Amino acid sequence: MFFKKILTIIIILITISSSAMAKEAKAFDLSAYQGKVVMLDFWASWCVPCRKSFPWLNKMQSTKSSNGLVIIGINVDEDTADAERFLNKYVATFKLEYDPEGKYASYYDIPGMPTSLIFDRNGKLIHQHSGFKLKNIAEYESAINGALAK
Amino acid sequence: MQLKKSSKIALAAASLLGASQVSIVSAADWDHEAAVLYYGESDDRVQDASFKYKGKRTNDDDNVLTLGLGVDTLTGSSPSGIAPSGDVQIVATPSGNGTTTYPANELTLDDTFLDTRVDLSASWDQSIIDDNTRVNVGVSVSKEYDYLHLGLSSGISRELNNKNTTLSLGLAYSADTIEPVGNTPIGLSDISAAKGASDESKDTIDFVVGITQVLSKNTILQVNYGLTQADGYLNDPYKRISRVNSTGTIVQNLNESRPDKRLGHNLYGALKHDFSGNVLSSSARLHSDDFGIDSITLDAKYNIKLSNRRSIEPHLRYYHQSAADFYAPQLNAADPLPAFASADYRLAEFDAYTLGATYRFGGSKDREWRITGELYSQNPKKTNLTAGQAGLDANPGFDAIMLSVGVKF
Amino acid sequence: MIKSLIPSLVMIALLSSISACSSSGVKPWERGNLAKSSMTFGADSMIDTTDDHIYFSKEATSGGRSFGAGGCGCN
Repeated sequence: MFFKKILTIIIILITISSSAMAKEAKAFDLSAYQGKVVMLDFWASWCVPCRKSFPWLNKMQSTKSSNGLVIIGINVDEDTADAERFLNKYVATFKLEYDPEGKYASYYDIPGMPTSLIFDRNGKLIHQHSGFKLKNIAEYESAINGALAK
Repeated sequence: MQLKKSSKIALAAASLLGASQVSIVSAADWDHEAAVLYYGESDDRVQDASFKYKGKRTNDDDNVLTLGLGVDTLTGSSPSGIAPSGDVQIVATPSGNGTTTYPANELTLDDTFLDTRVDLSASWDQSIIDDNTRVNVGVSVSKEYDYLHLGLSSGISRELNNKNTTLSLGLAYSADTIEPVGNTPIGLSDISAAKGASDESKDTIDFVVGITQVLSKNTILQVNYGLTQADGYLNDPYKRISRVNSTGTIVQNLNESRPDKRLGHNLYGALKHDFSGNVLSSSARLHSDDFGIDSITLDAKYNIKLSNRRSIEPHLRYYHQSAADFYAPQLNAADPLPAFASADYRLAEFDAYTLGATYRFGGSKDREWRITGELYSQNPKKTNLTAGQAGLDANPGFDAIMLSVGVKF
Repeated sequence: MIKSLIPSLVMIALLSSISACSSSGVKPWERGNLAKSSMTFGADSMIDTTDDHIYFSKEATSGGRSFGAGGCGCN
């Protein structure tokens, strides 16, 4: 009797939590960046590899902005206060946008955290990678250089 | 912050990159945790003070090395298993070097119980094949005056469904050596009889299979099924059992005896749910084995977020076990000896309750502190002794407090 | 009593898995709460190991949990 009650409570909990509301998806408006190579980096305060990626992103932005690179960090924290706390510790010298409802994340169907999307100078998505490992930075950098060369 | 522990190679790489702000270096991250614990039972029973340390090193390939160290010091007294009596009892100690006097009308507590235990462990965890599959291997050693434990463990896990499902498998093997003080007593022999070998062995194999499933953004479930097979010396060499006649007189004290094999299995389920920042962690575990012991454990913790770095987590646990088939508080002297018998209070039928709370707060330099206080109460089912022992209780139960302070840095 | 509970618990596990699969799971960018240590199994392993050791010494049964899992799911 007691355990049937627990079973019912668990099923109700699951149903309530899983009731998925239709999520809005929105493409990022790149019209202001025509002629520039844009790299959207989806990050969150709770994403551990993001702590290591920020210094590298800062370096990419400072060394390649003269070539037309624009890095935009898209934060997906549901509570932007968490993002602010992260930014106090891990400073970002690149542009930041906030996507707390995951509209951009849904549109690009981000496969993992963090994810970087590289758009060519005409706003076409030409490269993406998920995850951040310091041993792979040469690979990440050559993808950016490839886009800047065109 | 970024340049914690870097090797010379890493510093050279940084200069190659021409980084004036030296921050893009590959260095392993260390996470440390240390805790001290005090455990004390009522009625001058067991007291334990311990220190534990755990260090976790994660490198850039996401390989994890975990090292553990623990030191425990045990003092106090423990029930001997000898029945309480209306007469004073003077019995030989397990070491055979002297005698202990048990006062009349009291629980017979053995106070020759002083020991220090040290344990060390190391494990390695890494991904294989791809980022969704991980394997781990571990070794553990623990030593106390009369006990040596050596253990090996291994496990594999695989993430599926966009990391919403994790399948896990684990296997562990322990080879333990018991060197009882005064040599191994022969099961069900008189406590003054000649002893047997100087050491005995016990092997244990543990197998666990589990699934962890994300149910929603705020809910996660884990279900595990486990099997344990123990073989070898399963007795407690210091526990005794009395043969009592109908008038309540103890006619003989024997060394206990348990079977030399034990197969048990358990089913464990745990559910965590985030209620707007406050997390409920609940679990239930069922166990059954061929000693005849069935048990149920229900556990709930509710982590209440007080501020960004402070929380309080009350804790409630309920445990019930049935008695082992061969458990008896004492034997009837008129009956023939059974094959196995033990009066060890830990094999009796009882309910146990834990009520406690943990307070966590953040300190300087990103340290996380916690203070835990818990009360444990073990309430055995009352068993009646003979008329001659009226008013005496072979297993009255006990209460204990547990206090611990820990830090993560 | 114990044996009759096992079918119910197995049912809970199966039902949960089925309902989770049908709602296609939680997306990678929605894992903020799951990344919290309080929402990760095995995150407080020191308290767990200490408790398990005490209960192992004072009670006749032990075991159950042994896998850390959950978390941020980051790559």
